[in-house]
Amino acid sequence: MKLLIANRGEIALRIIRAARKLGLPSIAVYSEADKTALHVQEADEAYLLGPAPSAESYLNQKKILAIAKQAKAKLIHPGYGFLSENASFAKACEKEKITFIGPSSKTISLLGNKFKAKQLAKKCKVPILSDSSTEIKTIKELHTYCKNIKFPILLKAVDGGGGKGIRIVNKASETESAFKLASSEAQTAFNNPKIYIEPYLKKARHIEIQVIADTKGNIVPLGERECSIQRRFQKLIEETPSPFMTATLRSEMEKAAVALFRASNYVNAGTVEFLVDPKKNFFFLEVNTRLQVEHPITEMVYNIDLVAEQIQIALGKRLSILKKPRAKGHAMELRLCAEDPDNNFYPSTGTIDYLEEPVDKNLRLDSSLFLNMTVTHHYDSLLAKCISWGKTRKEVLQQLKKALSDFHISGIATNIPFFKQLLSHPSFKEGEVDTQFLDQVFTQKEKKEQATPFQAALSALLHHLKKETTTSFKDKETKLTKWQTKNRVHNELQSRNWKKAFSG
Amino acid sequence: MNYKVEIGKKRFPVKLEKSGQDWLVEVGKERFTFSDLNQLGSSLFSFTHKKKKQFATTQFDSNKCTYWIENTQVNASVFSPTFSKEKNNQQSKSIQINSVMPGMVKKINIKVGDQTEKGMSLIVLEAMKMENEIVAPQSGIITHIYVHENQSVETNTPLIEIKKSGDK
Repeated sequence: MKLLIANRGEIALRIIRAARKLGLPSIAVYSEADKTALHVQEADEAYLLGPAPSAESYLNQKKILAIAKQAKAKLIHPGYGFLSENASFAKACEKEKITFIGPSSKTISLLGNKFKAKQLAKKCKVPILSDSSTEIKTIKELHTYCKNIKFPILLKAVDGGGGKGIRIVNKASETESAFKLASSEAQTAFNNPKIYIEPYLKKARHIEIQVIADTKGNIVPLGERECSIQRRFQKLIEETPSPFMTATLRSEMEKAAVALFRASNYVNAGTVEFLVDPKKNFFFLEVNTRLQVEHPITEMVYNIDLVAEQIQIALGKRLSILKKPRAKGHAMELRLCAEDPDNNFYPSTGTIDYLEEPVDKNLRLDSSLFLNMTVTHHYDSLLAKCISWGKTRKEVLQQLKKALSDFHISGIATNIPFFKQLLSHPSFKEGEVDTQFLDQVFTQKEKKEQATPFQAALSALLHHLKKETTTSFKDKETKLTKWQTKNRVHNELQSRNWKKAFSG
Repeated sequence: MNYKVEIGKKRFPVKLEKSGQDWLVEVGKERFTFSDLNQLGSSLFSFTHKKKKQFATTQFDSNKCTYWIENTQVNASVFSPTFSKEKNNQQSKSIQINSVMPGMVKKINIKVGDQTEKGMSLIVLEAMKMENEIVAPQSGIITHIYVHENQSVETNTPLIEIKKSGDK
């Protein structure tokens, strides 16, 4: 039984590993920009989708289904992003008798509309933030609504997810431009420009509950993930357990999440997102009807393979666990992205001309990186996830710090230097963070120390060497083969470490 | 080789000298020795200083040198004695707005001849699925638009030229 992966990057590799573990052959699809990508090399079969832009490749439903039929795939895993929360794609799969690995199209469409999802939460007696009672289509409607409203507010895409189509509005004068951006981003990402309004909680944490459910009616919650470290509504660090969590709060939130799963007839893995205020009141945000980027930290602490579990559920099998396993230790994930910390964290593109990845006992690297890889602006900026497990949070922080100093990438800018500074920040070390931490508390300027003669010496030296070597750098190509061999060994070590972490 | 280095408000005179495989660097009265210098990739260097191997991730833009070493980010300007003083663009009545990132021009909100106010949205750039607005840094009149919608741009691609208001 073949499994087609309708995705790219690290998540495509992650799904290939799970398929292989279950003895299922994997089929990769790829765009012209990804011809040399690792998921294409690793899968048992690979098919070209089309040109680089997502709309012509990874979002091209017809083409993906045609390939699935041609290659005789019985299962499709959508990963995250792209078509993963697209009800019409799930429905098209159902029609073609191809198993979509995720909840039914009905469940996706119910929970995918954030507005309807909130009403369902209300029915389940799950607390929600008060909000607009209608979906907003035009700026005129928004103006009418905003007449008697308290700022700041959030504008959010009705069909949103992944932090796209969201804008904060601090005062009335910002409304129009924020609406235009949110609405147009929502149109591009979700093909629906409608937005809704939510009050913006300034001091809140973003905490989510992982749940898995099978076709037999078993629903098991798997604890929380703390995701408060965000920039522009994109998560950067996740950890479990949350330093803020108590046993009572966890069990209340898990109960709420399970109630929502039951009410929406949810089958497969999913995540219920909440905002938690400083007084430990929680409010329902949305349900992500897919595998999350940050799923590995739950896997490390609960010793479960969520992707394998997803595939088994889709095949009609019972969950491998019928009640929540005991949590062990602490896990944290850093999302390494192609972003320039010296240029407002805007995306950085280019070709990777040197790569050294860290290896450690309890370190798991879910990475799509390889030497000579070209990073384009067409897709998400996520390059790799650095996941650490340890007995304590302190142990995890130490291991991640070491991993970062052993991680060397050249040719594009990455957020590695930013993580190095963040992991040393006193508030972060104590786990005292909220969703505003990055924007308000943590600024790199603050870390700037007095300039030293050593820094000046190095500046002049690097500048001088750069001038000398701009033309000669390309001569390094003879060394690449040696590097690739080394890199291959690295990858094997990674997966070996990972297996060990799972069995132990 | 002699250089002048500026970091923040501090200025340092720096003298570089190659001695065998090592580099001797003098900053005022202080001396540093760097050995095993190696450019690993276009933006990555490694070296040994005081017996400790270190890595520096770099970014260069003419005389600007930015690097990260361990937890520290250093933004320096490096001038050689022959390097003409920084170009002074203060006199210019027009400003050119360049792309701050690679991406695609999603939308152009203005046309040549339009009057802009400071903070007005000029162009929407899309990169890696996020939309970013390029706003006018000052009021003026649009004199050039160098790009069209759906065009891919790199960092520093010229986008728009604005002529300051009140000038001829």
